[in-house]
Amino acid sequence: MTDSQNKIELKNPVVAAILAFLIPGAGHFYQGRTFKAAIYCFCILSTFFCGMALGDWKTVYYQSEPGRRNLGYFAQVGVGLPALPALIQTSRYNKSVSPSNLAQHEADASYFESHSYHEEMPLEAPFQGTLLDRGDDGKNVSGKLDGYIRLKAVPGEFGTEITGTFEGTLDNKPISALTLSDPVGIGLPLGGDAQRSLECAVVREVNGRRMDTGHIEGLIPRPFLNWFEMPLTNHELDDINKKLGKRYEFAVVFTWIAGLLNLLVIWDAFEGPAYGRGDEEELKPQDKTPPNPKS
Amino acid sequence: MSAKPVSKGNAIMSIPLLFANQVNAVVYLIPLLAVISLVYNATRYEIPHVIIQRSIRFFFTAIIIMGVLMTLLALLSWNL
Repeated sequence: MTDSQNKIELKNPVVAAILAFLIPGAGHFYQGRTFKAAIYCFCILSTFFCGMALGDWKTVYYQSEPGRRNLGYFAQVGVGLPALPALIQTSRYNKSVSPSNLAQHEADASYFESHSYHEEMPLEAPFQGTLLDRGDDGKNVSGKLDGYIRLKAVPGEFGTEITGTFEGTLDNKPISALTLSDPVGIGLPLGGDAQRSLECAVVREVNGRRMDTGHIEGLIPRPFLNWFEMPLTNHELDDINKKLGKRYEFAVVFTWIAGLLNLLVIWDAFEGPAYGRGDEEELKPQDKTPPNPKS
Repeated sequence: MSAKPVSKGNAIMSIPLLFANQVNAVVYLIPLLAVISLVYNATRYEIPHVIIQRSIRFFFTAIIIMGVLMTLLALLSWNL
């Protein structure tokens, strides 16, 4: 222990250190060192969340698969509570992706066949994507879709089938509802991206027969808890690097630095400042002259 | 594949573009340096005005050192 405790009331240093780990600045607030608490809380949390925002909220995650482990998380976790959900999300993610699928598809969780989507039915979600279809008049129809999709499982001739509708616009113009059917492909419910892919066939009545005339493909949103701090697949990591380039690297560094700075803060809460004892003052020029022994 | 020869005019034109690319990085690094200097000095001292004073000094010292290093590297890589 240093002399710092003679001047600074550290209260219970262990409690202060734990609080400082959980929320930057909370340990100092507990000790009554409000100025430092404000500096730490503002600086570290703003750096951490700026890093997350710069990297499209995909910078903080923990990948526990052997060979793909990201050591950077051990720097990020220094920030405490804001980074801890990544551990829970990794556990959820690992449970949802079976080892056989990991081996077969190199852990690319967005692969359509890697989970049974029948369990998710009925599914209702906003949808944005593209249409490639042959219209009632036999002409090709294509464009950007924006609307709402509804899918449900129904008993069919050969077992459970998926059927549904899309309602919305094609190239910003309202269109009549599209009837959707199998084959359907949906990305995993859990993933690092805020949206997941969906594609399915479009069916029409042609000459009294129900025929597959085209397909739609696009994205539907994931709930916040299903993507926040979730491990990124190789595909998602490639996409974010392609989209953001150098900015993603800066974003990751921001979150690392925030976590590492909080280690200094935890030590300050536990032990007091490295040099200052609470009574230090900048020496004035006249104070630096040696005292006169005769006086 | 043979590399396309770069004329001197093109090389000179690319320098501002190269500099602009680096400026983009500095936009991120300056607030980061400010945060680091403030937090680092706060963990070393206790009195608010001492922390502020030392942080400002630390910030500008780091800016000067990095500026000198950047200039040195730019000079060493001149015409490369």
